[in-house]
Amino acid sequence: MKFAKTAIRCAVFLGLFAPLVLIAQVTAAAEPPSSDSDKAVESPIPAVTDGGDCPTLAAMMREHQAATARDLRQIKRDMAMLRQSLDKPGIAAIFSGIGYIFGLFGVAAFVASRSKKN
Amino acid sequence: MHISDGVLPISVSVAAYVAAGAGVAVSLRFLRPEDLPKIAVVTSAFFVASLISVPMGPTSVHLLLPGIVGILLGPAAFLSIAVGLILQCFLFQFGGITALGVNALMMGVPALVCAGLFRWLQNGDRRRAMCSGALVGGLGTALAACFLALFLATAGENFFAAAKLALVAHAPVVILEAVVTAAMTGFLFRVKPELLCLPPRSKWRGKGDCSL
Repeated sequence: MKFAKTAIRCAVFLGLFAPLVLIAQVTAAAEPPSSDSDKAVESPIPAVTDGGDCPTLAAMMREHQAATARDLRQIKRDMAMLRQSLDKPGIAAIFSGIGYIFGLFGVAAFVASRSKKN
Repeated sequence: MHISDGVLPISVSVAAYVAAGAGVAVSLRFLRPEDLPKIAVVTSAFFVASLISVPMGPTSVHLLLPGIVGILLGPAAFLSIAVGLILQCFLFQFGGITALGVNALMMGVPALVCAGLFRWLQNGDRRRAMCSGALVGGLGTALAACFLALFLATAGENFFAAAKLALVAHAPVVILEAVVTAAMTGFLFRVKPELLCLPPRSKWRGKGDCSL
């Protein structure tokens, strides 16, 4: 009787947490390996798939989530910096502007010299 | 210091366009053909100056140069600034197209004031030229900040609050501008003093140098 109870408990536990573990695995696989610090966080996850209790699993997932959030913040900061640097005019725009100015005043000087001759 | 599209009411924008057009016409009236290369060089310097930003505290500032443009070009300063702002607007998206007239007035009128004041203060002494250069350089930027506040006041802001904010924000630029203008004036006074001097009135047209 005791054995059957334990078996049922195990089945319920697996049924509840197997999808979670699967999701964790899928997200870990979907992420490209970026740096060494990330590997240190992700590597324990496969080790607990074949067993392990709920609190450690939850703690690991929380840790993993924190790592992902950290990476996301970094990416967002990079994107903001990139957007800021995109707003700055490039070297081509600067030189074309200088060229426009010299060209405009060159044409003006040309017209002025012609009108003086006439 | 550029006002963007849609900040000011249409009537103010249109009036500023008309006034700026008049300013350009006056500049063209005083224009001497032999000054065109100088105007072109100063205009391109003005055009590029706003891109060189100096990090200062939490923000970065850049030179505005209305003072030195006024000193070097005299009445033609308005034309130079208008051309520089038009190109900045189209190539760098600094300021809006509808606010072009407002921006030209905001920078051009201080430049004209600087031109007159600098000429009035001269007596041929280099130190005096440098001091008046510093004064005019700082004053040009401060005046531009005041004009900014004035235009923002037409959009419903409180004039004194806006003026205080603009002046505080531009205080480092004023100091930087004064130093740079003084250095440029001193250098030009020693190397090529005739650059610092343009005939202030049209009856001197085509006469060339003035006494310095």
